[in-house]
Amino acid sequence: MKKIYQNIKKTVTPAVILVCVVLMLLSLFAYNLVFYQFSTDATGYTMVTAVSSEEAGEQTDTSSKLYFSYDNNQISLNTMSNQDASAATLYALSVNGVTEMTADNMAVMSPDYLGSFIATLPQQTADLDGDGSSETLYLAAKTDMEFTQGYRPTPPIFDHELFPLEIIFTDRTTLSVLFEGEPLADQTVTLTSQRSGTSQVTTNSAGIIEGVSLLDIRSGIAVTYAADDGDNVYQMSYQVEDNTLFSSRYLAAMTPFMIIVLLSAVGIILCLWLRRRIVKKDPVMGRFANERTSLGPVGTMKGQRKFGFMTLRWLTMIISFFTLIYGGKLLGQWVNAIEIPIFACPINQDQLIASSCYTLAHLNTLVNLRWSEIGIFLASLLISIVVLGRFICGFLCPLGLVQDLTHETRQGLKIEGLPLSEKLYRQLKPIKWTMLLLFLGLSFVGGNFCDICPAITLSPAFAGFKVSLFLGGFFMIVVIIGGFFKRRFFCNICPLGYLIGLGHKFSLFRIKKDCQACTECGACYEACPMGIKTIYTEREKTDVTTADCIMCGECIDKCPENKALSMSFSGLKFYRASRKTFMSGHKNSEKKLKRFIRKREKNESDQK
Amino acid sequence: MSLIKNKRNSQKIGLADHNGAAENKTKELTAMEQRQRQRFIDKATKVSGKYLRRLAELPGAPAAIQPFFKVLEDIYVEMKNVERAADTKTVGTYCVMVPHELIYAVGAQPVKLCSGSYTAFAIGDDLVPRDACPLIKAVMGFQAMDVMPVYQDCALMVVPITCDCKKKMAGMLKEMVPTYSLHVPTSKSDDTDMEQYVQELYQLIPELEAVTGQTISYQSLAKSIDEMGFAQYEMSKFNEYKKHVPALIKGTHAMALMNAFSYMPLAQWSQQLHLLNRELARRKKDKQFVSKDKQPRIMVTGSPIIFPNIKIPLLIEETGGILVGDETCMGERSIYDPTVVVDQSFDGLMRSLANRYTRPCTCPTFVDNDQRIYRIKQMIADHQVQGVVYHVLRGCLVYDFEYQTLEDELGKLGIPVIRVESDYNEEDIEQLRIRIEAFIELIKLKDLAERSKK
Ligand code: SF4
Ligand code: SF4
Ligand code: SF4
Ligand code: SF4
Repeated sequence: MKKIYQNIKKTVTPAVILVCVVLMLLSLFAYNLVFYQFSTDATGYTMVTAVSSEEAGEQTDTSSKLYFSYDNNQISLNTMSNQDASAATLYALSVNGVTEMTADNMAVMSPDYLGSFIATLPQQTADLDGDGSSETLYLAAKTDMEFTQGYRPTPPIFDHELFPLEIIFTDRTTLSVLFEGEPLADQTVTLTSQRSGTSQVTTNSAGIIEGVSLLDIRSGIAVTYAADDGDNVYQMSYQVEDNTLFSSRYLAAMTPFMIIVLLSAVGIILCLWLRRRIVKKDPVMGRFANERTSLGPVGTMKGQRKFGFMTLRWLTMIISFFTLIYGGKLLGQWVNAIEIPIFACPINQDQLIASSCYTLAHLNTLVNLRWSEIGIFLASLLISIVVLGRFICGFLCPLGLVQDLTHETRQGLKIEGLPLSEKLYRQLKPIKWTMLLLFLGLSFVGGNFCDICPAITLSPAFAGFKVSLFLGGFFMIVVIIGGFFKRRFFCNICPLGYLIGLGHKFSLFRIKKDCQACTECGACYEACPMGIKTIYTEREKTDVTTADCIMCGECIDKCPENKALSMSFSGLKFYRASRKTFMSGHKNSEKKLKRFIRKREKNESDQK
Repeated sequence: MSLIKNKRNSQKIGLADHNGAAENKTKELTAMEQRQRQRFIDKATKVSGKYLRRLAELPGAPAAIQPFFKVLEDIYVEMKNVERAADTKTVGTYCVMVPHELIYAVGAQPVKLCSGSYTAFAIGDDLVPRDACPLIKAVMGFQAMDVMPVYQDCALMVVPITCDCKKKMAGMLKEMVPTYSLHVPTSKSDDTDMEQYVQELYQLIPELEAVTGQTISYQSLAKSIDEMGFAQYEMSKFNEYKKHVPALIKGTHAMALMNAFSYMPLAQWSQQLHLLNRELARRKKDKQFVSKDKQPRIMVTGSPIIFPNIKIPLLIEETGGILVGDETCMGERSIYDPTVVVDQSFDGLMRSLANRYTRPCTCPTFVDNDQRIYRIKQMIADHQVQGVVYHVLRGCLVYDFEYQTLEDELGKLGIPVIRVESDYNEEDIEQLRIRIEAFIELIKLKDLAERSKK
């Protein structure tokens, strides 16, 4: 074992350099390394024209006269009458511009189609407002398939020759209206949504309708604009393909993640088998091969605390996971005033709070952003660093949760991990900086970090977004296998976390130490997933927060000395180490002993 | 050396009933040796009996401490072995670095064999160099006389290689009984030191397994760690009571309790300690204290203080001080630091043991041992100590080395320290009494001056 250890040590430095170089190279060609690709065109879909059964027809609610709807891979254009159905003209946005759709390519869609469709009806005359004179009504419907709602450089826009009014929905965040090719600025339009009815709204100077709930948009909307003193009324309905939770479509979106989990499991088993072979050959360790791979019967340790701060942390992590990923979906609203730096991938556009990692990974696009957006980005980044710091890592980050889960799996199976030593931790530093460089710099040399980011496999998939994976998919396997053997493996090289950590001097969450109370038992160091040694060797400073500290509180949880370690928020210590709670798991044994003694004493007094 | 040779001839490994074993051996003993042995036993039991009496006579002993006295009496006066199931083998350990958890996990009973016997010391004086420390002499004395069942019945001795004396002792013991030398890292600041100890412990396991024939398993190890943890849980409750001012229990009694730990099965010890804690809780409620408000609060640290060599704690408390803390390896240190399991795998348990038995250990044989000063300072704060008695056994260099730093550090805090050197005999008792009495008077005066200032 010692020899193996020595060999490991000798190979570590070149290995670290190799990892850095390989990472650099791979990240440049990341686009060629496809892990899993979803189609980003309309193949596999069909389109039909349908006539709504309700012939009640002449309602004032005009929104349902012409609209698209989805049923798995079938898109239907719904009309009110056979006459309308045959009169409707359908267009698709394709790589060659706008194409009119025929019966043929409605049944089998061309791969050229980019996923946006529009349908128009010939003009109609009707007395809409009931003032006696007739108005001319122009009707159209538009739909976007889900993959159009990515971070795309150009939004899906049709030719305004087809229909003057157009609803444009981008990034699942902005709803704007074009009229004759120009933004419809500062006008009052009628907005009808299937979910919450009709209302009058005013567009802003960029033609954007603000404050519409995502839920309303997803339920299907229509915008009616009365131009030329109300003589010409234009109406367009809009439907975006919805990623309904727990449908077969949703499962499809989860596929790559499932594959990753499966491959990781295979990888882990392979590693275990390999290690077992090596250990078995060792003269000293061979004897313990079974125990060390935990094949024998295992028991549990009862003595240490079961509930406490760590329970809170787990709860927070799980709640954070679900609220971040599903919050926007369920509430229909997301917080877009801030962007927190966290690896909850904002390519899931239904996410409750956006993450600044996207902007950080695309710093080159910063110049294209509006000042207000840059302001929001910078201000929320700074505020997050100061107010939350790496508390984000310990308590909120979904990628952190996944790693903690794999770690707990190992704990549950009692499988031996891979404890890193001080030297190995030090070797990680260049990797950290390389990652940070890649994270911030790749966008300037033609790639971007999102292509290698493991977090992309998580949040979008769980929210039902079909996102193609490149190098990030492979990386996620490494993260899961690594996280299984070494707790928070990725966090140790995470560029985003490190970036936040660099501001640790100013952040409000802090780890404090009472150096005299500390016995240098090293428990905190053993427990620390980030391998921070100073936390136990420090003998002078009362503040032991470092750039690597993810505020997970494990050190405090495991510290047996009263008040030796504590966590504080802006000076307020809210969590302290304590021997009593550390050993609280023994309370049960104590109760048992008390019962035993009572019984014995009773027997004794009975005998007397 | 004739005695040693004798022993080697009559060596009998394994566990025989002590009386039976003695019978076997008597056949080979000459009449003179027989007489010598009897004299030794008489003298040893007399001394131990005397100190036990003094312990009991020291006022304020809680009723629940009697079982611990009883254990000391059984071992040192009645010459019995540890109370245990008849077929349980015992494994002798020295110092504080041998994980008792491992020994319990293979189904054996550990006993701590560092000795404080004056009588055995007198014998050992002829066996080892004059400048060796008395502890070694006493151990070798017992080993040579072949009369103490706790020594004689040991199926294996595990000697950590700590100070030079222990190192040579391991060598000598190996000549007489199955002995395993456990290599303790010399320093602990580097990660590799601890890692190395993990390897050492892995190597120790097969040796222990050979003793009982039981193999260690995850379950047995987890269970013994839990049991030790429970003992430490009771211990830390006891420590809380010890912090109470005025004191709830005399320090000398507390040291007897810690000495009894060496010869008691773990579960039994924790159970008795639980009862003691219960009594202390009652005392606290009834405001039944064993010290007066103005009694100087003394702490003792330095070389090990092992029954029956408890003259120093006794002197402190007989001359008007109250012993509130001890930082010695037969005292609190041996059990104070809990095993912190951070990884639930088998290797994780082994790591946590290696970690617990090296990193927090304040033994001065480690190259870097600054933490002892901090530990002492913290104890001074916790127990509101007013003076420190620094005990140095004659020949115990490592502790003597650390005296100077401690004196400087405590000087900064304004805590008086006194260095007392002693040997395993009663000749120096009067001189010690005078010095300790003066020290306590000094603290009283200092205290008075401080109080009047306020
Ligand atoms: S792929 Fe990674 S870096 Fe890019 S937006 Fe998603 S989480 Fe952020
Ligand atoms: S270090 Fe990175 S991956 Fe880990 S929790 Fe923090 S942001 Fe998430
Ligand atoms: S120092 Fe403590 S809080 Fe920080 S990462 Fe390590 S264990 Fe977690
Ligand atoms: S766990 Fe507590 S006592 Fe142990 S080294 Fe860390 S801070 Fe010190």
